[in-house]
Amino acid sequence: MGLSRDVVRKASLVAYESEINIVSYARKGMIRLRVVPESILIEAIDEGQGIADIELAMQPGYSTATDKIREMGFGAGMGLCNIKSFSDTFLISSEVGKGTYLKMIIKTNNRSLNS
Amino acid sequence: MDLASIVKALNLKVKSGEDKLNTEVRGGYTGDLLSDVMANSKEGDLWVTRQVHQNIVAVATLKDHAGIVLVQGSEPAKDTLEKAMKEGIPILISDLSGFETAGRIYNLLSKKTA
Repeated sequence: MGLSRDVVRKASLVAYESEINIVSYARKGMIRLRVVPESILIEAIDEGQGIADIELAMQPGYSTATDKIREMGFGAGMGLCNIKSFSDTFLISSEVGKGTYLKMIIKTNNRSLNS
Repeated sequence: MDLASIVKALNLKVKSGEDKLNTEVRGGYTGDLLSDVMANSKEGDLWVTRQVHQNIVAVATLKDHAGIVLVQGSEPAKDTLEKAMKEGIPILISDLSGFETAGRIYNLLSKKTA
């Protein structure tokens, strides 16, 4: 598809961190990927406990992970920060008791097919 | 410096990726927090960790690491090793502590570039 290694790496990292969050905290969830020439859209949608204080959850090092999750080297409180910093656009919304929605866009620096 | 020279100097046990020992090691990173390693390590780094579960192979593949060094003589989990063989990621075992392993690798790499 002509995507650079850097773009693929960013997208993989964003998808992987999102997946870890879903597996660690949600009841169920999905990751949706849409690739067009100029960008990669990744959505992580879950049903679960949701995030009460998004601002707090976005702070580096803040985590509600259990000991079991931490023992494996997850739950460092860096996941959402990493997702944000490796994305060009980052949106998050959440409802306590319902779930969390993340939307990330990574630009590919390729030109649109239509342009 | 290639991986084979580091394997020899530190007497590392090679568990996977025997055919990748000519890989150039450009630097190193030490960490057990996967998000930290994903955010801050670089392509070509030799990653020193004490985590042994299969997610380390995913991280090393994602970041194009030269290899993974497990410390304190830790053996990789069975599914970790299977995944590493499939992905062609060298997993090496050091009998030394994380501190000493990283220190020695650092010395080897900085001597080379000095």
